[in-house]
This record gives sequence, C-alpha cells and structure tokens, in this order.
Amino acid sequence: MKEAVKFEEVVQEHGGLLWRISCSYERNPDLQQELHQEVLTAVWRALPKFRSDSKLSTFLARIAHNRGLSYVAKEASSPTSVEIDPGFPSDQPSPLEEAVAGNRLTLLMAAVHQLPINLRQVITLTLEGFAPREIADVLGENANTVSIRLTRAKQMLRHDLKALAND
Amino acid sequence: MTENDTNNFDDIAQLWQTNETSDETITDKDVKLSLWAQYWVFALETMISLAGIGFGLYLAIKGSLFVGLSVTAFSLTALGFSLWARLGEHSVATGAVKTELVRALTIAERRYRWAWSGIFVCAAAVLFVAGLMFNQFVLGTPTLEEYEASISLYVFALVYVSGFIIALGILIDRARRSLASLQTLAKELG
Repeated sequence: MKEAVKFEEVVQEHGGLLWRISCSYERNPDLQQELHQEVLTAVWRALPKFRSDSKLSTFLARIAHNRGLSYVAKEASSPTSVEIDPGFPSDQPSPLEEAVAGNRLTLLMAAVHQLPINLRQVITLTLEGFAPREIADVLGENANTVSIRLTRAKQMLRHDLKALAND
Repeated sequence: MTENDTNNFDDIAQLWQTNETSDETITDKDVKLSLWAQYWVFALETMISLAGIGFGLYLAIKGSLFVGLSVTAFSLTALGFSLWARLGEHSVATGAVKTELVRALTIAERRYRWAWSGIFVCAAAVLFVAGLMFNQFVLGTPTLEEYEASISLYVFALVYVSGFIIALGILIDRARRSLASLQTLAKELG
C-alpha cells in the first residue's frame, strides 16, 4: 500500500498548496471545496506517474493548475454561466468591494481573484515560494515571460490592496 | 525592487500561506470511495445496456424481429453514449499548463468537428431512407402486406435518426461553448 501512504503524506505536506491553488480559481467557498476534491482526486490518480526527475511540489502545482483551468473552462461553458469576457464590466459589486468588511486574508484572496488569470497563476505560485524558473516549468512559459508577468502582477496586487486600505 | 518592497511582499506571502483548507479530513479512503462510486454507476449503466442488448437479440430470434432490433439498437446507443461520456476521464493532465491547454483545445476542436460530421451522416441517412421509401412506394407498387411491413421500419429509422440529430445538436452546442471558453482562456494566458 505504498501509494496510499504516499497520498496521505502528500495531503499532509502539500495540502495547503493544493487548497490555495484551488481557491485561486473559484471564489464561492462551497465550490472551492468541490474543486479541491477534484484536484485531490486528480493527484491521487496521477501520483503513480510521478518520477523524481522534478520536484513533487512542481508536479502537484501543475496538476492543480491544469485542473483549475479545466474547471474554469467547464464553468464558463455551462449554459447557466456567461462566457469569459475579460473586458466586460460587471454591475455586481467587485470582489474587492465585497471584501471590504472582511479580514486581511479575505482582502488578499479577493485581490488575487481580481488579477487576470495569467498574472494570477504567476502570483499564486510566487506566494507559494516557487522560483521564476520553477514557475516557468509549471506553466510551460519561458522564465523571462514569467518575470515580466510577475512584476506586473506584484504592481497590480499592491495597487489593489493599497486602494482597498484607503477606502 | 527596493528592500522595503521585498519585505512587504514577504508579508503578503506569509499572509497567503495562512489560508489552510478547512477540510482536513479528506483521506485516501475518501478519494477511493468517490472513485468507486463513479465506477459503480458506470458498471450499472453498462450492465443495463448489455442486458438490453441481450433481451433485444432474444426477442429478435424468438420472432419479434422489429421490436427486438429496436431494443438492441437503443441499448447499443445507450452503451455508446455512456462510454463516450467517460472518454478521457482517466487521463490526468500532468504536463505544463500551456501544453495541456493546447491539448485540451485540440480535443475540443475534434469533438466539435466529430459532432458536425455526425449531423451530416444523419442527414445522409435521412436522404437514404427517403430514397428507399420513394423507390418502394412511389416508383414501385407494393402490396398491402409489403407496405405494412416496411412503413413501421422506415418510421422507426426516421425517428431514430431524428433522435440522433437532436442529441448531436446538444453536443454541438456544448462543444462550441467549451471550445469558446478554452479559446478565451488561451487568449488570456497569452
């Protein structure tokens, strides 16, 4: 039962990473749990494929981001949802507005959700302690692109958090 | 980037990592249980379809050819859709995000084209059946027995093909939406 033990170890050691990546793709707390369960199931299935030529955390981050993206695509393509339109302004309160009354972590989560998806991916991995080269490996981008995105993402995140603090 | 900025960002990273899952109880057992539930639903669907095929063939052999073949055809269709719905379910994307997105886009495009080709095949089948009917009832002079024997078969064929066209129409709509959202994601990811 080597696999079973390994999965338990993975959940214990990297559960937080998988949870936070799941959360970055879904705002609704109930649906976050659902996505987290999907990510864990994918990890359970993929673990036998893991070869130690890369870091386990990199392997897990890839699975979680891939599952998160397919979740976003699935949600956006369901008939009850609107298709993704990044430029379309919403008349709903923004996540930041909703989060004004919340705590710092809620504000941070909301600010992360506010970022475009390509910047969000880079920032969540950076916040998890991944180096730009590792992020490039997870995302399939070159390190230079990652660095440029990271600079933009940090600027936007700080700006959003500052704007919120001034409100 | 100044040292102050770095410290500020370290604080943000620390805060970020305080977000731990509220569901600490998900274990290996829970995941296995959820997978087993999915396997059982699939096994049940397969068994019902196979039983339907067997029953249909039994009826066909015992003399109710039309009813028997209809039951067999419906059961085969149900089995086909059950298998199709689970295509790719067991493959977990472990590659780089960009590579996997390109792969997902290729699959979505293939599904969309496959559904459209299905519509064309069904349209061809309708024309074929219409041609057979024209040949038998307009150009030929069938007896009443021949007419009765053929008409129910033609009607069944047309209803069956129409059902397929409706199902494929739904699939096309889903495939189109899926493709559109994946294309938007690909665009957003640059």
